[in-house]
Amino acid sequence: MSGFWVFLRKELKEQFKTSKVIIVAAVFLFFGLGTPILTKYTPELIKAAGTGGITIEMPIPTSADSLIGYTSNMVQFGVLIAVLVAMGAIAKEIETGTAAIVLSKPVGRLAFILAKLKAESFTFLVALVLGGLACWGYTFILFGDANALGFLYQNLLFGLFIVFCLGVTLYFSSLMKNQLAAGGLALALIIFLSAISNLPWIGRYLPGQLINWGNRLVLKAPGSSGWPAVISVALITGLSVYLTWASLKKKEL
Amino acid sequence: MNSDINLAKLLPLLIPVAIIEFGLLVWALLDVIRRKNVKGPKIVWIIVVVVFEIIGPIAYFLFGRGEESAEDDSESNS
Repeated sequence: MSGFWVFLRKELKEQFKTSKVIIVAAVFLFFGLGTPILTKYTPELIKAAGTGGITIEMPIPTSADSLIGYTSNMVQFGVLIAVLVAMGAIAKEIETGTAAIVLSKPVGRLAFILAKLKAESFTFLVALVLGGLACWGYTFILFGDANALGFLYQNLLFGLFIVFCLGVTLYFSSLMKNQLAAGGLALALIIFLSAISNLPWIGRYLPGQLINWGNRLVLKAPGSSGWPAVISVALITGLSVYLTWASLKKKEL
Repeated sequence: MNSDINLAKLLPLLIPVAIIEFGLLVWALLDVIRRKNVKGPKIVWIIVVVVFEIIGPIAYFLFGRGEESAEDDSESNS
């Protein structure tokens, strides 16, 4: 895989130069700090605002609600940002002719794709660590306890989910000329696969189960393990990389 | 209005959230003003950045920034 490390260095530099690392980390940190506060104080805020004589029974929020709430928020915003960050990664470089210049040198197309996926995964890894630490810390301060091990596993599973989203988006980015079309198709596929993750049998192998399993680990709730989903999502991500490589191989750059 | 919210405990926790929000807003605003190559009218991006908290600056950074030209780079280096 010639030129992988050179590519990876270039792509990592690009992540810092375009400030993607800071932007993605800021979003994860914002939700990591904000979700525990909102979870803790929403019942009090509703009470303080007054309910006009109507009695609303609000369950007392727990630390698990805060940790799961953060992941729920990040499944929406994190996935959207992953698609937005990755959708132009290849399509834009083909459009501007950068890909043709870079790939005219003696470097492999697989190295080109893997370096992009790894550099973008690095950006999200930094964000996940910062956001996760912020959320766990604030949850511990506000609620007095927080399931550290369960939350760690939940974040690892969410990290795999994000890498899957990046892989799928890179594939569509190599397929489409327009980066918005690539992003739209990737998002549609991710939403579809997540939506059917609760179906019996097939659902066990779909990406949405990663999040469901993570939630169960935080809650220490019984239920089937999510290993089938972990294996199939890793395989789908690998397949995305292969299809991206096949698509780039066929393309006239 | 009866409130159980402990402001003394809450305020220090809100400061980092406000710093992130305000920091992104200022950073995006300065970038819109300074950058020569912005996709679309600058005034529209300024409104988007100021009006839509968090989402506005992120949208600008992902979609609004044009490529830095070699001229811009040499100016910033000098």
